[in-house]
Amino acid sequence: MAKNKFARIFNIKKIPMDLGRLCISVLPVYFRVKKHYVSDEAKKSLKIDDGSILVANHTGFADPFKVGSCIWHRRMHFIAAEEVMKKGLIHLLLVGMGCIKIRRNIFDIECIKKSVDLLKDGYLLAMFPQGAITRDGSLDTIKSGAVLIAHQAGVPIIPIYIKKRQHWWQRTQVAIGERFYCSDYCEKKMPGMKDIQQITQHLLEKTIECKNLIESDDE
Amino acid sequence: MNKMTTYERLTKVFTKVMEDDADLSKLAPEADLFKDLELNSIGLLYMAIAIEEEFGISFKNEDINTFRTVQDVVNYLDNNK
Repeated sequence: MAKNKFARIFNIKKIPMDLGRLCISVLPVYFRVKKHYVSDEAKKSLKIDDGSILVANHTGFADPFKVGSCIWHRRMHFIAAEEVMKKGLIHLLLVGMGCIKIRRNIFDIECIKKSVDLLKDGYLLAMFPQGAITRDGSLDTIKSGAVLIAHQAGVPIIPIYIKKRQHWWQRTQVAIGERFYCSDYCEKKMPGMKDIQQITQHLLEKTIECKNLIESDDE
Repeated sequence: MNKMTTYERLTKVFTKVMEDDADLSKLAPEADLFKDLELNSIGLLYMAIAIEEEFGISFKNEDINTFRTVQDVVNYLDNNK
């Protein structure tokens, strides 16, 4: 269960993250994020008080800022590859901003557990489950890590599609889908691997729905 | 009263998680987690989480990254009761 709201509003350990959020709050002016919603129900997706996982496709290094711009008023953590979180100033900055390091060359159970704890505490977590940047915006497969974390934490998943803009002066288009719980698709307390894969497939379909919405709006 | 062995309890966990995805008749102690049970990275992580819940333990990265066979897991659980 989430801790009391006051603890989440003021937390001395989160000052670097809050400063980062202040910086991110001006980024909408640069990215000029235009939000699309797949349905009226999807408009409620971002009105969340508790923990939730935001899952988006990964088209570039600026994607965390684009996702953060959608809900800049809430503290958001990100999962970042170890290679991105190098030592030194970048490492300090990213850790201060709330990035959780994931080591891709091993089975990183500590990252999973840290993510689950944050979500249970009521924070947001953004993930890019394609596992790598795909510059053309294609959505062939996504990994099941987000579903596993969401199931363990008991929080909803919000699918998001970011359209890579062709020119810097264009607005960044973001489509937001309806949030859903893993329990909506599997009532078992402990789903099997097949259930996890089916929920992952469902998440992919919802993200493709978001992609189709943006592309149809363009036409 | 019959107490389940570590191996039997572990088999129960594998059965719950894998369901009919793997041939559980191959769940011999020397079975390779990746080749015989066909676990991928998410599968192993999920299995580790299920084992933590069943046995009341907490894995660290260096623990699960040494697991190759079912017997490795059984040995770890027996040594960390």
